Amino acid sequence: MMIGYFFRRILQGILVLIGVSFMTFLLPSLMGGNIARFVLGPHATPQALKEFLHSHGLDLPFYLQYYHYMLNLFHGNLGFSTNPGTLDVSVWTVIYPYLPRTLWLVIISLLFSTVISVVIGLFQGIKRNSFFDHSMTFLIFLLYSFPAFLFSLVTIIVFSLTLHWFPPSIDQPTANGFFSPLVQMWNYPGQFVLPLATLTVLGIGGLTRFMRGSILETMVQDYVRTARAKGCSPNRVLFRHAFRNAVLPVITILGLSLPALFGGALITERIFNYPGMGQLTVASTNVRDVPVVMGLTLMVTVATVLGNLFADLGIAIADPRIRLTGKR
Amino acid sequence: MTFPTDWEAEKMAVLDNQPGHEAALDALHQAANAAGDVHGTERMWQQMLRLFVSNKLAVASLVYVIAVVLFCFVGPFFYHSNQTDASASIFHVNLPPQKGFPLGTDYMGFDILGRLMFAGQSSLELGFLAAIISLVVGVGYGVFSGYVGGWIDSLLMRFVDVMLSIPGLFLLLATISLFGRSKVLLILVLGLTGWFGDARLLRGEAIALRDREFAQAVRAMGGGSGRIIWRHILPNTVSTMMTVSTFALAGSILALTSLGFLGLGIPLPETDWGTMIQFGSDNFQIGCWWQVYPVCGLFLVLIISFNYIGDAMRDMFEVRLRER
Amino acid sequence: MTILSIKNLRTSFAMRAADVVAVDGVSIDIAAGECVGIVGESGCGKTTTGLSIMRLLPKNGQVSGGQIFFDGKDLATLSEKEMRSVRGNSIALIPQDPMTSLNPVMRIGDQIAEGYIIHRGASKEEARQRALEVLRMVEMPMPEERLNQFPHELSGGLRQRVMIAMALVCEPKVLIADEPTTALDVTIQAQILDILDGLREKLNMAVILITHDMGVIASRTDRVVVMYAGKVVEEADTKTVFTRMNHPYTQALLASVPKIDNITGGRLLSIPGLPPDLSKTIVGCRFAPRCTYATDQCRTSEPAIQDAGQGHAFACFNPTNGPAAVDVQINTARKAIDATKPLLTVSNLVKEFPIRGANIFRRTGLKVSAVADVTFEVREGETFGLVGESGCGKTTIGRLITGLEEITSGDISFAGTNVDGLSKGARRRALARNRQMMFQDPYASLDPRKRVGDIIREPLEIQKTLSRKDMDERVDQLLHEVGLPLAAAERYPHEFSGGQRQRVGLARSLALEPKLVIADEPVSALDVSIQAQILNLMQDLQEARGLSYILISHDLAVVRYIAHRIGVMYLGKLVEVGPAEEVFSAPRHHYTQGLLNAVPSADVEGSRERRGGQIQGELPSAANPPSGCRFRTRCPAATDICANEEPKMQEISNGHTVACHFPLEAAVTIRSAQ
Repeated sequence: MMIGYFFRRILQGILVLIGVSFMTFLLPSLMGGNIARFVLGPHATPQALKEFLHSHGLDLPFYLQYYHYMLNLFHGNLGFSTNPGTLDVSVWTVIYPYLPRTLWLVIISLLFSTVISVVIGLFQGIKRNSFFDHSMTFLIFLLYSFPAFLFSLVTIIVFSLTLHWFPPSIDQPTANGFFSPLVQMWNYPGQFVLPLATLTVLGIGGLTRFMRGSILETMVQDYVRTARAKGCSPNRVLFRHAFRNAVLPVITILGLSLPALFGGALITERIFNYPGMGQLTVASTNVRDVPVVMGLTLMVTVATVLGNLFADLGIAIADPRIRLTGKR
Repeated sequence: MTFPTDWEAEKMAVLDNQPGHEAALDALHQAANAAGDVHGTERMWQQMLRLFVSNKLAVASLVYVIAVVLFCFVGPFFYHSNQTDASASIFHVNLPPQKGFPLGTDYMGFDILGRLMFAGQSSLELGFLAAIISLVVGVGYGVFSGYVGGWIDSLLMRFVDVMLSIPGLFLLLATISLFGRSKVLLILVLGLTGWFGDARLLRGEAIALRDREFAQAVRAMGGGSGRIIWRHILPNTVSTMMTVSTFALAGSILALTSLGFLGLGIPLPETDWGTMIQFGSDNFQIGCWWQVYPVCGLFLVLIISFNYIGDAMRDMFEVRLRER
Repeated sequence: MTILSIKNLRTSFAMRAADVVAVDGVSIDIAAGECVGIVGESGCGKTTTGLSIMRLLPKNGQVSGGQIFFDGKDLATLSEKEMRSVRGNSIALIPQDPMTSLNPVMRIGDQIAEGYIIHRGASKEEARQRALEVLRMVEMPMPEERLNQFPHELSGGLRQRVMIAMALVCEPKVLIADEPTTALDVTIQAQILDILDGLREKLNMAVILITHDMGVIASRTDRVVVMYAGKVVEEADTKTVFTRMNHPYTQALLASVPKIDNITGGRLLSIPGLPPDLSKTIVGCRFAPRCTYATDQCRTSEPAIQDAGQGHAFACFNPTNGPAAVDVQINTARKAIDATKPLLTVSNLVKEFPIRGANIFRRTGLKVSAVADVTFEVREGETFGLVGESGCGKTTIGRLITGLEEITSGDISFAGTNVDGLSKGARRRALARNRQMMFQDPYASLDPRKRVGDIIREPLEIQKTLSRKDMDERVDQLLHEVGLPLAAAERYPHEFSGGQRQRVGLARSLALEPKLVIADEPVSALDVSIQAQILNLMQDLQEARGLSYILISHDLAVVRYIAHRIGVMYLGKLVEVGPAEEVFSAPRHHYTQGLLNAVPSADVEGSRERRGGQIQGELPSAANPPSGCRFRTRCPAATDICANEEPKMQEISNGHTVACHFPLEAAVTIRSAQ
């Protein structure tokens, strides 16, 4: 049954990706012929415009364009950059070095925020209405409302410009490998403290609130009363019976929080001057390098969809209801 | 950015944490139990108002929001400053607070206090209009999808899934890279990229209400879908819509400010808070703190206030739901 | 020998408005091996009493007075740690809802074994052996396999067996069963109660059976404690409570329960009013405002509990003596019905629901056969009862008739109505004029944002047949008919109690003056005393308006009380149709008989003996129903032909049809008379 569930879930993910790729195809095509004018500039001759459209397959019927687009996509071809600096370089070549940097930022901060949220939320749930609970709730609420850019700004002002504990920016990476961002973090951990803290806090806000709610909700379930009626000690009730049930829905939320986290990473990178996907997106948007922006959007969505997929598979393994019947 | 699914679990999270609430909650419970002669709903609204008023922080938040709105839109009538003529302002660039410039000037020489109002107008206007668009589209789409159900619902919701998988800021940037950014385009882009979560939420409500027995009863007495949607489903989602619209407003103002901060806000000669923060933070390193602190403080408290009001409303309606 | 002794127990809940004293001065003694029933309506404090003994009250509740003596110790004063060694060890609890009471992510074997490990310090392997042993004790089919299964793999009945096994693992001296069968179907209920009975004798446990069901009380308990508004009002051995009760509440409660083996057509006694609000101070006897015998003394001072000898005690100034006299004069009205003209004809009705996969691209091709080839008719002015266990398709039939679901195949025709050639909307409105629906849940069936007057007016507005003024008049008249004050029109549903809301629902369904009202479990969400009010009202309106009802219910007693003819459903099939009296006194289908046997009667005399076999096993899946006769897997008389050939509906006597290859003989009484 679980194989069936996995299969269905993966199929669903692929469908979402096809949908997204359709969007990234559709949006630029809404611009139609203007793209040639935009690329070639206002003084291009009609002949040149026509040739441009023809050479890029833009004069074909809509469905054929989509067909070619998808065909290229399957060959890993995302199109060519229109940025004057990287004109006609393949999009993949342009964006590849940037991908792992953002990815690792997000993964590591997600790990931090998960652990912190689960622990804080759990304690809040147990010590409900205590001073700890109230002050934490208030603090979490503030963090939850804090926009990412303001939080980074504040941390830079406090910890870097005032206290001089950490540098306000990250050195430009020298290597482009998939694991080189990790190497850089290992070598210069101080530079990454503030950006990772920003992203972690961004995740904590929502996750802790959710975890606290989940544990509170679980503790009033009938099966928790059953456990108490058996004579289980409070710790046993909490860890053997309530905890697992309370954490399961949190896994889904982890997956769902990914888009917000990538958005946060975009801003954080910009502030700390770290050349990840976010910074490239902003730069490319400024020069209206549409193919690169679309390629990045597609890549970040692939990451989100994969993340959600992993979350769901994780739940499927942890929850016997899904493991055995394929549904909850 | 809120998670669409934590709605349920959060009700306890917040409800249990406001001791000042207790008394007002009491009143509400009693009101619901006692069968008085006053009209139920009017009393309900009064009760909810009282519940809201009893939450001091929520009232403070609301007062703050109103104050900011007045500051931005009425302020310029009392406090005149040059915000458009760059050739005139060029003579007092980056001045610290002083007589004539209570909060100093920015990198172009515009007065910061007046700039706050000027930028606030466009931030609030755009945020408000975008929130309305996203609310209308989101509610319409969600209620329709949930009510119709079946494969249409599956299809419509798959689309929402697709759009929700694209991180919001990336989606914004992608559309801006395509269409550029004028004021109108920004409103449309913000409005049309912000409704997916709301649609999902409203769809859930619509499904729950559609399957409730009172909606079934309308069908059994010969009523059509129009009646069920307009007379029964929508009135019962008013509370959700109010909460959602508060968060939508906060969300669109926040998104606009983020864009501004990334250098993609409203183009000159107009401006917005995000753009102010961006240029301010560039100048912070040369000591121009007055270009950062006022606008950041004003904006941060505004977002916190919106979130707090949204939370408080959610509590209020949760209580009412339990009384049903 | 008294094993558990509750003295003056007082339990209160800190609510936001005030403290609610849910249990006030309750004293109960329980002897070893005895089954004591605690009975009362919702909110009377019976569950709270049980939880107080276990000290498992919710966070805002606490035992604020009295003692609970067990094993020489006062449980109320034990430390939490000491209390833990009592829970699950010497006192165990079986909760109401087995669906939610098991940990969904823990294996059943581990859940059962846990108590044994905690209290007996057993090793994992020993505990596992013990778990297997207790699973065998509760007659769990295939116990070895169950150990490794998860709760969602079991049906409700099997889960309740697991709950019992879990409670028994340390052989407790006292077992508190809180509505252990309320969430279960009646045939499963009988199985579970039998298991409990057997184990009680075998292990010499004391059982506290908390229930609202007088039938369960009558058939299973040795002694009964009747509670009302947090107090014990009467206590005696079971027979005395049913035959020589002294408290008017006990008397009224029993008289308001429809009895399955009663003469059809009597009028139920209903208790007017509602139980008191426990957050307020109550002066005098708590039942006085609803009591027919109340005097000034009752309203000013509170009666103490007094001993009437032989373990019989009650708290009343004006005790009654025995059951209320049966009101006989109403019977005549029911005989007058000339139910020959068919009003609604349902022929070969089929409804199948496709089972959908997780997404639109994966259709399983499987179908749930909810209603399979059902044919019956409803006549003018009669009540047709549709009974069966959950999942038998009775509700679906109701929804098909009201047009809330699309028919897969078959036909539903209504006398004198031709909807051919009408537009979809017009057809729906035309249908609504002659058939209306009364819903189960009084809380969900009224729009909380509409005033009661608007709710009742809505069908009139949809149909647009009356002027505005006539509508107002109609609403007033309807409110009057269902016994609500005219001022109710201006109020909102949340201002009314469940019974009052059900009256509003009835008024709404009558607004269009339909000929047929389909009532789907109209009283199952209500307490018995309120139930009686609604059932009586339904009968009165039937007489006054010549209405027909289709009464859909799982409660055979309710159906028997109000229905003229009855259809019995099993797994989407109609298995028996006939006049109510005949079906109940001489069922021809084995399922009907088993169903009737499983219903515990609220009558001590009749309930202890059984007329025949009991239905074993579990309900098969409707997605894959058994071949031939769908009941054959659980039928005592099944043979090969039942598997190969589907039995046809055949008329056995006048107006009584049954679908069985081997129908039961006619009533035993007839044979013995020969």
